[in-house]
Amino acid sequence: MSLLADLNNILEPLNIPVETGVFSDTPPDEYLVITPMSDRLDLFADNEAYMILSEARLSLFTKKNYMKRKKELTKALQSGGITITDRQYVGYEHDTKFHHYAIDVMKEYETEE
Amino acid sequence: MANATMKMPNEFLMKLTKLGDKTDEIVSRVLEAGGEVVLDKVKSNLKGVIGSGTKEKSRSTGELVSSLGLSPTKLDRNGNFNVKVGFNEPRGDGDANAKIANILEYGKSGQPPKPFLKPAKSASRKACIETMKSELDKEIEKL
Repeated sequence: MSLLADLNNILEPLNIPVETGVFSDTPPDEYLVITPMSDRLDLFADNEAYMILSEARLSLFTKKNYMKRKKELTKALQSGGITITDRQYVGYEHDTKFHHYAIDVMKEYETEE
Repeated sequence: MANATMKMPNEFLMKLTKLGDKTDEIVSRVLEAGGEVVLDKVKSNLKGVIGSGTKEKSRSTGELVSSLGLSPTKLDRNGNFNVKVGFNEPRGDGDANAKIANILEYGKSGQPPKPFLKPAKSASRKACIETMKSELDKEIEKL
């Protein structure tokens, strides 16, 4: 499994449009963008890496109150075994009228044989 | 009853005294060595994201990269020494480097984020700690 696949599975029941990298269509009033951040090898033994540390950023854009979604996302991510490394309200975009909230996540995977 | 007195070697005691006297100086040098490792990573990540995948031709002037630097060691309100990696202000065009860096890092609606700070923080953590450890050993050896 990969972090992106896990995130898509976790976020699917929340009924929020999700895209990776950039939202290609005309954005709805509420949507999520996943940006992969890092994919490092870790836990070395016998010149081999045994773990992969994957990190990604979830950017929530909403024209409504973001608090409910923030709580829903946090709960879903934590129940799905994802570590939240940071949460931050980035700001209100006056030009687009979107609230922007960022959640940074991380998960460790064993390297595949 | 028998008495036993243990004495530490004089040379070791002298070194401990010197270490106590020079703590501020040593901590500062150690932190700056670690900060340089993080700064290099942030700078290389930033160079990688500026101008990449833009809808129009990049108008980058290089000012953001050149304003990136390491602060001198400062003592915070909790009594801890620290150095910061950040941007020098102001820009020539009157805008704020920190604002531009924040938009690059987090993106906007319709502008994908290009994270450079967070990945640098996680990627350079171990190297930074190792550098500071070896710098501290060197400083202690010099006493």
